Amino acid sequence: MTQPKADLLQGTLDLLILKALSLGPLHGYGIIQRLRQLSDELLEVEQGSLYPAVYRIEQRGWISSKWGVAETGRRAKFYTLTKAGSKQLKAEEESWDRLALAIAKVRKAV
Amino acid sequence: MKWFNILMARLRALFRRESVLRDIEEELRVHVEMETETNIERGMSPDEARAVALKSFGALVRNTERGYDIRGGGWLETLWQDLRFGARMLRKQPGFTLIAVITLALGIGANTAIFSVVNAVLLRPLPYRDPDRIVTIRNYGGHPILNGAFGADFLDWREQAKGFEQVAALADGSVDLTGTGEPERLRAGLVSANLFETLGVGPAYGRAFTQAEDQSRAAQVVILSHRLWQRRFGSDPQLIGRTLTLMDQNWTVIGIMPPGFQAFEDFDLWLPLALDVNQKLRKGPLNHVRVIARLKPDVTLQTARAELAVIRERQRQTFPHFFPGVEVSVTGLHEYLIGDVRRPLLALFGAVAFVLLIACANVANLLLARSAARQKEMAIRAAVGAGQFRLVRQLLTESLLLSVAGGGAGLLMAMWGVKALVKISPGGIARIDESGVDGRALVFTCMVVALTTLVAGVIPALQASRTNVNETLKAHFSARASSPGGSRSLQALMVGEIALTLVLLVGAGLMIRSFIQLLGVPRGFNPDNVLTLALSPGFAKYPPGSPQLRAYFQESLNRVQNLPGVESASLSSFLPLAGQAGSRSFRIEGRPPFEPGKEPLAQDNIISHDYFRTMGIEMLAGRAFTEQDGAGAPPVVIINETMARRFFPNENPIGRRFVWSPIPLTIVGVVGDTRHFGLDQEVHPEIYWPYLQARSLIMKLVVRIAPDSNSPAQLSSLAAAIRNQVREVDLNTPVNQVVTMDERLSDSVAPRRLQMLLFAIFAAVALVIATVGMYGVLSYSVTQRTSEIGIRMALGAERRDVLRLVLRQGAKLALIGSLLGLGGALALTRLLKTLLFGVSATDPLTFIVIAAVLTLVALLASWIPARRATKVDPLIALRHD
Repeated sequence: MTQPKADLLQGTLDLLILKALSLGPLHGYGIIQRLRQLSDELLEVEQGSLYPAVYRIEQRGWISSKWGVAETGRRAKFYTLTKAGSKQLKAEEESWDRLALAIAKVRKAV
Repeated sequence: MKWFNILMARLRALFRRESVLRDIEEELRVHVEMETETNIERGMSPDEARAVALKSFGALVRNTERGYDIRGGGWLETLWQDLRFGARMLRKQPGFTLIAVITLALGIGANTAIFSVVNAVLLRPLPYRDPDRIVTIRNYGGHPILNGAFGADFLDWREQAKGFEQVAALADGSVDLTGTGEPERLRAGLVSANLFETLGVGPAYGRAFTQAEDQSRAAQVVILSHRLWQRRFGSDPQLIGRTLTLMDQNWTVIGIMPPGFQAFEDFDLWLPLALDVNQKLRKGPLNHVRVIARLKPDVTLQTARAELAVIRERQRQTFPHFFPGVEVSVTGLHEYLIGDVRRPLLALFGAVAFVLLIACANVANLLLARSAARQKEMAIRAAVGAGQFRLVRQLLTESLLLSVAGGGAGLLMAMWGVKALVKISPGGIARIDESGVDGRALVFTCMVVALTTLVAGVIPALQASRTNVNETLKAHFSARASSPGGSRSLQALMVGEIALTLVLLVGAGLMIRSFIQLLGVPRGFNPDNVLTLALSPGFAKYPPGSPQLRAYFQESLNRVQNLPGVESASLSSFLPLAGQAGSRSFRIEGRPPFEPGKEPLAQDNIISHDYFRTMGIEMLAGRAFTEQDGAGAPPVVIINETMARRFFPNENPIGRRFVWSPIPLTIVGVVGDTRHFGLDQEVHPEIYWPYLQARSLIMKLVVRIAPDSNSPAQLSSLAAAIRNQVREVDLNTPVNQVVTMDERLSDSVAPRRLQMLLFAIFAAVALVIATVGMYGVLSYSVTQRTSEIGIRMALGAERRDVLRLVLRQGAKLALIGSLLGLGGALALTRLLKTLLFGVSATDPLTFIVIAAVLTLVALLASWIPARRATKVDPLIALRHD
């Protein structure tokens, strides 16, 4: 954990969680692991911020949860992307792309 | 739907807080274990691995709670906390809570009770088909006896008016049911065949009358009310087709009306009206009827009125002697039925609304005073991060709790109050007996509770939440806490409360003065120890004007006269205050006849010779009738004072004569005025006839009881003896309406008495509430100013000065409130105008006395806190903080 980590923009965590789950159901620890993998170890999501975000997203109906058995044989709570969640993910990805493009343009302007 | 899901999730969480917490904890625990395992795989020792996992996680417990904040009850949970906290605060101050709840219960209870009555009487539509289309057509103007309609009018209207689907008539009557069981006098509605169709309500069993049955008196058919059918005939399903003995003749039952059916009066049975077509010629006695009609769908009231005015003009041209000044009115039936009670009821509704406002102001005051005391609590809560919204919500929750408790207690009061109201209400208010706290009343109460919460809670809540944290805390730790803003709202509310109370008190004062005026009206008779009962033998056996009928009257009179304890007894066809009178036109001998269309009418009254002595009516001139004024003797009459004054203004009426055939009537006496339609009605000219010389139909027996036998026990045994004596004259004639004249007097003023009583009760409640409020405000102010008072005393102020200081504050509030109240009363009491009698709506005496009384009471309420202020010990006061 000596590598410099990218700071998360407010609101991007939701997008990341939805993206992680779009590849298949995961438990909370699994979400962190997958995000770390996908970002080449650049992103380390704080557990303390993960769960509040997950619960909030669940209440909005974008993901659903179910207790199941993890690969290690341990009981864990798995989260699955719902239909509404896929739609939300798409919307957030688009708006993120727009934002990224906009920022890139502004940066090149000088 | 999203908000609904969230709401459900939060609700679930609220009730399963433990299980949600456990779920989160479990999930986090699994997470830590997984991370620990990964750490071990990376080569850490188990202890180290777990420590790192935990560290990166933060405190497990804290995260569980944070998770719950999101997944838990949320705002619902806050509300629940507010409620529990509020309840705890209210429990901690039982005195405050009790006063607030009782105050609100009085206000809400009175409102719900009056609303229930208003709902039953004014708001609910009549139980007929398309009740909006049903109207009543009436004559008005001229003598009250002419109000209503005559059979002839009904026939003309039915025949000529095109704007109505149906025109129906109904007359009041009574019939004696004999044959089986106890003979009984029943209230009969004599109805045209189409009455039921006009109302759109048919018989529950059997059939209605046919046109043919309404044409002649030959068809003797009767329809019973559901109640009579149940009571007298045990709901016998075989009754239809059977015969009953009514008026000594056989009548066939053809139908039973549905339960609860009423038209104008609560009749026991209905007979065909079978109006004599000769009525149209307006000869002989005119039948009184009530006319109900159904407007055609496209016809408005205005159109109908215009059409009937044209018909009235035609009537005038056909009959030159048509009653002068009598016009036709068309009124919606509901409007007509509630006409007399709408204003008093709305006035009462206004009065209770005032009571509620005063109660709200008082509770607002209590909350304000208390929130001032809780200022430090609020400041501290604000300092540790509670938002203004949160504080307002907390305080509103508390006032909601108070309102709900007050509303609950008020509802119980209202249930009891409505029953009491219905019981003491005078007769004649249509459908008041159907009042009850029903669903609509409940909805009303809930709305009142919500409103009360806001009105009583908003000002204190805003006031408290506006607390300046720094100032308050600084004040708390340095000098005295005093909040000029808070006490200013407090005083403004108090002034408002006093003003509202004054308006209500003035209203009650005007009502009370009206009632006193009413009782002061000269009655013209002596109601003490006079018993009356109706003699009305059936016409079949005793035809009008027959010797049998006269013999029946005479025999009844003789028997009663000879009873021990009876001082005198006599007969009269119309008693004072009984709401009935006869009427006829007349001509004075030696004067030109009155202009056609302008003939005056006199009430006529047929009496036996002892009537004036028995009733205690004063002889002003001439003589009373004697037993010698009989059938063969010269016909004589006696007139009342009003008639003497109006028609013989500057001459002695004794000896003057009325034109009459075959022999003129000689006036032999003048007696004092009595009123037949109520003490608040004007006196009409009246002519008395000796009953031996006149055709009498229905007579009342009037009995004056000797002063030594008027104890209640003696009275009731005497009443029974009189009843028995009369019954023995003819066992088939029921004896009815045994009433004392005192009761008649009391019945005739009953509506005004009730109005006055309710107004007085509401005003008294308001006064008590305002007094308590005044006491509370000044007590609070004395507590707040303890140190100031201490300093003043330390600097040499006398007790007298301190007393004056507090009393002056009370007096200031009372005076400003009274002045505002007087203005309000001036503007509002004119709405009561029609309910007043003999007193102006802006009666200065009432206004001044009430304002003085209220100010005095307010000063008395200030006295106790003022006394307490004088007991302040300067030493203790200065150490107060």
